[in-house]
Amino acid sequence: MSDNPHLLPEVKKHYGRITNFVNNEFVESDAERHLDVTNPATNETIAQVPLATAEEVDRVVQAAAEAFEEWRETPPHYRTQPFYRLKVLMEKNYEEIARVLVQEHGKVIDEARGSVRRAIDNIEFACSIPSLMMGETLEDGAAAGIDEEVIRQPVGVFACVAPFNFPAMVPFWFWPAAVACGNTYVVKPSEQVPITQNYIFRLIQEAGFPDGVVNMVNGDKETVTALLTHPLIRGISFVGSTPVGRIIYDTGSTHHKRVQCQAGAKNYVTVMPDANLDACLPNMISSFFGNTGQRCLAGANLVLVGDGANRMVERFVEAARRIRMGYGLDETVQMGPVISHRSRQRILGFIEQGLAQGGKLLLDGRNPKVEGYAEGAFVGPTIFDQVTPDMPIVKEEIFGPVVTILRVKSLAEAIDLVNGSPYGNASSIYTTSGKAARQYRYRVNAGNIGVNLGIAAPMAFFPFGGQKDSFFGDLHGQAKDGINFCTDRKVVITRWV
Amino acid sequence: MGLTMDVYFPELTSFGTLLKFSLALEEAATALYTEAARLAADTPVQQLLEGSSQRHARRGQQLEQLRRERLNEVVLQPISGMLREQYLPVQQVPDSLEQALGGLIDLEHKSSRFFDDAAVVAANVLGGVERVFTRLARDNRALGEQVPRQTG
Repeated sequence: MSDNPHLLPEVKKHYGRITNFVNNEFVESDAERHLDVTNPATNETIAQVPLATAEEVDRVVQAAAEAFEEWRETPPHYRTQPFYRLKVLMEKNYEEIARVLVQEHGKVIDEARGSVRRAIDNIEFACSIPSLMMGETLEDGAAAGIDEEVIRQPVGVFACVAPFNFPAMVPFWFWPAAVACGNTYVVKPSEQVPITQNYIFRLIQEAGFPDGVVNMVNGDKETVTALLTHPLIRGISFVGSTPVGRIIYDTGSTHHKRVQCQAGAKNYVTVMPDANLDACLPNMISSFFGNTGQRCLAGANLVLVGDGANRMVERFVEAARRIRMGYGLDETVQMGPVISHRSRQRILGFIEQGLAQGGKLLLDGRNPKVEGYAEGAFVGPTIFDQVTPDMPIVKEEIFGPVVTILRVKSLAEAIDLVNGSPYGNASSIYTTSGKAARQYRYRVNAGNIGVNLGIAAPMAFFPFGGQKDSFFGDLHGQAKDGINFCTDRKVVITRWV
Repeated sequence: MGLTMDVYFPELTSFGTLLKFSLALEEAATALYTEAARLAADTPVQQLLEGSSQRHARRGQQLEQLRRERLNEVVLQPISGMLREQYLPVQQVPDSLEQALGGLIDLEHKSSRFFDDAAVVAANVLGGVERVFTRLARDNRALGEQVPRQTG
């Protein structure tokens, strides 16, 4: 490891054996299978995570189901009280959470801080449940003297299956709203990054939710299958790849659950000839290489419209070349490693394939020199030119810092190209033309559109989800969609005689 | 001596480091004013220096809050054109009140220049922060003018 004196301190060197959390207690798993959790910057093992069996999942779900009736009878404004306490605890421990997150995930500290903030945003949203969960009433709504109203009711036990790329934030897209609405919950963190949630669950414990209301189980595919097929689980939220998302959606819905799957992405960023590059280039760089490209909203394909593309390419490559890589606990580092050596190999495979198919590398990130971190899973910024839309490197989700450049003659051609992708998570346009921007947001089939902004990440009070193969389900995560997902609307028609 | 002048000033590579640098400036200013006040014990300027120390500490808290609450994906982008060396205050522990006051004048001057330049960068990145930085630069100039020029 580097002897950089300005590295922020790691919270711990090793976090031991990760536990599950059931009925407000941390419980050792009786799983026979465990995985090592590795710091991707140093390749050091920093914890072991259990892979829970179906029996353990059953115990956790039973605890959540048992807690449900009492929790749903707790008035909404009382249900929000532990959220207020959790918000304070998260603020107090904000920096430590961010550092743990960097250590197990590899992202840079500011990215980690930003994602903790987004987790807190969702707690704040949940604190508004007494207003947001209100129903609607219409006097004489059914007939004269007969009133009609709709009330919202919680449903039961919900669960989320979280991805590795945002260890703190993603579970918070789902569980605070669900729990504040009166449901109970099981969080299943990614087995690649379980430590952050384990840390946060200590705060959840301190916040004083009643036993069984919020639970956590660690595991892998077997654990997820047990959740998906458990008869007491009423709804599943998932964030991850499209192939897994399909399985989750199919299995969950076959077992009569509500399912929302935020799946993979291959996001196009379109740059018009009139774009203000001076103002926008840093933002574009952040879109493509932020979080080392491991973000479902990351730019992946850069679409250059019309003349002047070469000038843009030169500047883009130069800016990418200057990105400083390293361990994310160094605050001057701009890009960390990818999540694992396995992921690195996968990304390198895509690059090799792109080269074999005739792509030209303008920037080669296959063997970056990262001083002090020779063992880290680093891939440098990589930029391909001379690619065609049918190549896998253009079509498939790489989930790494790899960019392809495509050139088109017109905005219409760019939009056709974007809409030709099976994915539809996000897309951005850089332009100074309001007309072009409007046309883009009107016609592009994606769930999140950025205008002069490369990461169109919805805040907690807006719904978050894609279109096409980037989302399976109907109600998105966060905001009112999240409330609709985890509540039933019951109509009551009343006549007093 | 309670003064810690070992404050870390990062390279200015991103909007996040801009905020980190600004926090470092406040930390250094708080420490240096505190030390100057100690060296000025029982003189007419002691209270003024203590007040300025507290003011920088409050500014640091406000900047920390700003970093926590406003830094998200949308503004995590590289920056260029600001060189760390231009804004580095003297990091030497002062031996005398005169030296401390000289250090404070230098620090307020560099801080005001830093926040003026950071405001230009922030204008492209995050609305509202430009205004905060401009206000801080103005505040630095006012604080700098308050620093006594003579110890006698």
